[in-house]
Amino acid sequence: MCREKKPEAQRILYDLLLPYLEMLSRRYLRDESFLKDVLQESFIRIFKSINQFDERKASFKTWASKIVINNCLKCNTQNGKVNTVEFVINLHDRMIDAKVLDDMTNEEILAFLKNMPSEYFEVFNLYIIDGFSHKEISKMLNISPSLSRQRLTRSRAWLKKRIGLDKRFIDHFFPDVKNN
Amino acid sequence: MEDFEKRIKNRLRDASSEGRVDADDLWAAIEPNIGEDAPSKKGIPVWRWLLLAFLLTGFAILMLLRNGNENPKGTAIYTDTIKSGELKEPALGKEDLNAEISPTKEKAEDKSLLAPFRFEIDDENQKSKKSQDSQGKQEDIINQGLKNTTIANPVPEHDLKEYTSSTQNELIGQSGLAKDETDLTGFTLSEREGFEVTQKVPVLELLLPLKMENAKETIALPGIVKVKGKAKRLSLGIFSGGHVLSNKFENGTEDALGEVLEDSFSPELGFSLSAELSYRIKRRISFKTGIEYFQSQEEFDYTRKWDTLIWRDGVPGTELINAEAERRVRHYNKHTFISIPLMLSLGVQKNRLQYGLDFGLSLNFVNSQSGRILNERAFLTDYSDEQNTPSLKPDFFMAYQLQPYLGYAINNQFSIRVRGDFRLQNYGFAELIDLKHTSVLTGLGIGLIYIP
Repeated sequence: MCREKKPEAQRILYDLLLPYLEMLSRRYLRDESFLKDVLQESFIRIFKSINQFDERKASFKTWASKIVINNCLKCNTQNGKVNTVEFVINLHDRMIDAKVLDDMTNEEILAFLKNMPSEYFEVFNLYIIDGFSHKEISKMLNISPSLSRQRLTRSRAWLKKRIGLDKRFIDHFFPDVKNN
Repeated sequence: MEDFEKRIKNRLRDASSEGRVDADDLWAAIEPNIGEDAPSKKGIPVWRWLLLAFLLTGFAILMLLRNGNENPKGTAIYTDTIKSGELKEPALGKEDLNAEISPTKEKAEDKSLLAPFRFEIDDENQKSKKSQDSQGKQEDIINQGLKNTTIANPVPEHDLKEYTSSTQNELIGQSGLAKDETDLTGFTLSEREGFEVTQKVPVLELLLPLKMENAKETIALPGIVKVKGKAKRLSLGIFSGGHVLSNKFENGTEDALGEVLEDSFSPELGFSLSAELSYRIKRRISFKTGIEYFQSQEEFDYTRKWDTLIWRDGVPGTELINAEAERRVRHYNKHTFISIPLMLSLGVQKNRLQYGLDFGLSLNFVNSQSGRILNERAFLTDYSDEQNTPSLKPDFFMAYQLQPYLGYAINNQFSIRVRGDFRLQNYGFAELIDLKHTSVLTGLGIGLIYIP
């Protein structure tokens, strides 16, 4: 029905997709003030090119996600400047306590991860969370596959140095989260 | 760590977020753009196309006149850019960067062509034929290649009856004309002695040429005759044109060097000039050879980015900050080569229109080459046959080519021709990059064909 451009069907699909695509956009956007613009452009593109969707190649969600991700990356490139991000060197690695995540909401996890340098987080998002290969990432970000690998390594290092979460860290970043 | 990453993935991959954007507000902005009556983009006005054509023409002229490098001093652009922080890569000897890139001189492409077949019909005869239906049919036969008995200076129907079932020799014998007198076909007896009778053709068949199914090609001359040894099989052609190269590198390394190289090369307009000779083997088949000179150019544009750490404000001992360094290298690589085509040509002519396809291979000899590229270890390196460094292209390579053409016969001797040129150039294994290297040449040429 969406392919026939029926407004009711389009609205239903929009309502179904919006929460997921909103979170996806927030994950990828460096500056969330562009969130509405990116979502608007993405939905228009989704509805206009819905006839090109081929269910044999991917699910609709994956297809729509790819459109949103590309729009976010494009927005980052057009509007983003490479800001200098402080890279704190911890001399002592701490043990990773994955259980800490259980106490955090998705919003908090996202806020925490967004402290990572944006270039690293882009690769982390694409590779770890959305499952793209380095080759695909290199094309999407217009970087070499080796740089993509390097950024992933650095993002992991960044995480590793921070996920030895102790009370001080959580208090600093997430004062509302109770530390077990 | 993996467990931690999995947890993040599971939490965030399908996560939802609400409230940051007002759903109704956003929908109000989307809806007008996706409905049935969504405003569609208007077509580009004609004047914009004309402007584009004008700009492209201007660009092509600039390409002809331009020196190889974008830098006015002829220096290759080779920049180290620090996007954040003040990181500088170790100096790389900018004096080396004055790589010679010689001007893009207009060089030409040469290609060979055949006039696949040609019928000799003098203009006056053609004009006279057009005045009568039967003659028009004869012309059609010629154009369809069905002619074996081409009639010019046709005889009025009432006169033709007298010649039904007659041969020329009979005519000669019975005419009683003096040697210098002309008969109805416009020939004197002495002229007729050099002719050979090829077929007896009833007048009725002359008027109904569709029956002449077994017709054979001859040269159109007045009368039912064939001239011995007069078939013109050779033709000469000169062509010039432009072309671009698209490189392919077999990707075998872990770091995807081939892919990086393919992305780094972008086509630039090259030029060629050719002189060609063709020999008609059969009515529609010719063999073509010649000599072609090519000058090809490509832009090598390689950008490398990497993350690094620098001291804040460049002061050692202060805190380390994250930075991204970038180096961009742009260079015009060029090479020239001589090509000898060995091709077959299939062609058709309808009235003055000619069209057909040439196909075959060519032997190519690289004359000069110089440029910049990533070597097998992905380091930037220069190559030049003048400096005796390892080269990207071999001294000799084969190419497989296809040239569709469209021509127009100006007269019996000259025709102009436009043709496409598609070649797969196989350079083989390049030691410099440790990869197999091929390229696809795509070009367009225009030329003049002369039949002596």
